[in-house]
Amino acid sequence: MIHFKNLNNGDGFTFIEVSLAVLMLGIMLTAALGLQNSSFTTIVKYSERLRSVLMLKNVLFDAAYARAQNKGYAQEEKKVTEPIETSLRYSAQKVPQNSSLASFADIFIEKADATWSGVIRQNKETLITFLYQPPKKEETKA
Amino acid sequence: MRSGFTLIELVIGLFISSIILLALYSSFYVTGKVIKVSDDIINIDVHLALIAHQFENDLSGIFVPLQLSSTSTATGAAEPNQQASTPKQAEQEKESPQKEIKDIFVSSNKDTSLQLLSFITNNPLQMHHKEGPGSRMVRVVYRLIPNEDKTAFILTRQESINLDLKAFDVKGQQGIRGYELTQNIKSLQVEFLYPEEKQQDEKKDTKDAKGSDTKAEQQPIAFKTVKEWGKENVAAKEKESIPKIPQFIILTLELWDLNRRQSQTFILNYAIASFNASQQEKKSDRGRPREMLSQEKKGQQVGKIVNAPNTQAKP
Repeated sequence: MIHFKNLNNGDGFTFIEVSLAVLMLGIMLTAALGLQNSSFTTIVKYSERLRSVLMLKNVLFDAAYARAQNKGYAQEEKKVTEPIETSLRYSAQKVPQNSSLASFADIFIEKADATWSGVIRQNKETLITFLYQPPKKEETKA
Repeated sequence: MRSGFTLIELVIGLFISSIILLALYSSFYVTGKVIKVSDDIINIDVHLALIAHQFENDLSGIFVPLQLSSTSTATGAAEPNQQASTPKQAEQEKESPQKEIKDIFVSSNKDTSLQLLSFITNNPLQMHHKEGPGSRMVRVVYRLIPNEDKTAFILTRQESINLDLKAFDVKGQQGIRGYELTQNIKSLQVEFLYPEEKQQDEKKDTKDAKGSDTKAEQQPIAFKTVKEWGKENVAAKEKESIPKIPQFIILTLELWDLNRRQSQTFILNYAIASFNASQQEKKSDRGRPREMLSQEKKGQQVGKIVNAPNTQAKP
């Protein structure tokens, strides 16, 4: 059974009571701020993901543009500083022989990775597409 | 005598309460700022994702309708030998004569920003119409219209199975309904890329001369970048060398934040999947008379006997 002190006796609160009240207030405020911080972090995280997906799509586009120009596309790491510092990597490899996709001839796996340091930890996003590129046939003269 | 607070008690009380109030105020201030920044991020992201997705959806299905390469449908003239299989079909053809589809891919600018972008796509949003399941071939028209106070642009989108571009200009209830994609565009610029025909021809020449295409295929192909497409005032010779649709499209999109104080720029790139198919169609028909093509398509022999008397006995 909890017995409350008679507040009209003119004694006021003790130091421990005040400390406990301040502590509880602090805990409540911290929880509220933590909740707000986590929601903000989620918004920023998803925004970064959207931007990184757009960057990866642009990487795949650059590779397609280079193919159309009959140029090679360098499969090396690229650094982008805007809007967030991101390292981009592109690779196009033939389907491995032991894969279930090996029965499809002339299929390449195009992979683009984006890595950036987020609010809390390192984030990574990957886009994978399949590219059909048959060997070019020699034109027969009529 | 009633005892009150001493001065020291009051000062200490005020000091503690001011610290608590300061902490509360700063937390509210930060909260307000976070809400504002979050709103801006969400607002830009929602519109960015919407525009990027909608353009990707529409542009991935761009194609050149096949009937344009066929003379009978392109010119709109009915073939004399062609007989309608049933009277009902003949009636239908009479009611809806096939017209040449013009403005396959059109884009125009106003003050360096996009004004109109229209094309034919097989990836429509609306699959069912009043009459039932509709055609997958639709025309899409994007327009960039300045808002009332001219601080931003509104991007609108129209879609219809009616392929005539002029039908999209009709206003009121008879017109084709459009809807707003976003209101917060600061600017939208479009660039169209296509391979230069000269280079392709040169490449073909080298191939013939050397007899081997290994080196010729290594030759880089130069791409030309234009900011408008399908302009009326282009010279006929130049028009011949330009393909019907571009191979790549680059959109430079500048979006305002919620309060239109700051803007962010995004580059959206799209490849037109049907470009090579449309070019092959063009190459196979290139330089050949239209009559010949139409005869070939009907399965007749071409170029052997022109005015020879018919030796075969008629049944």
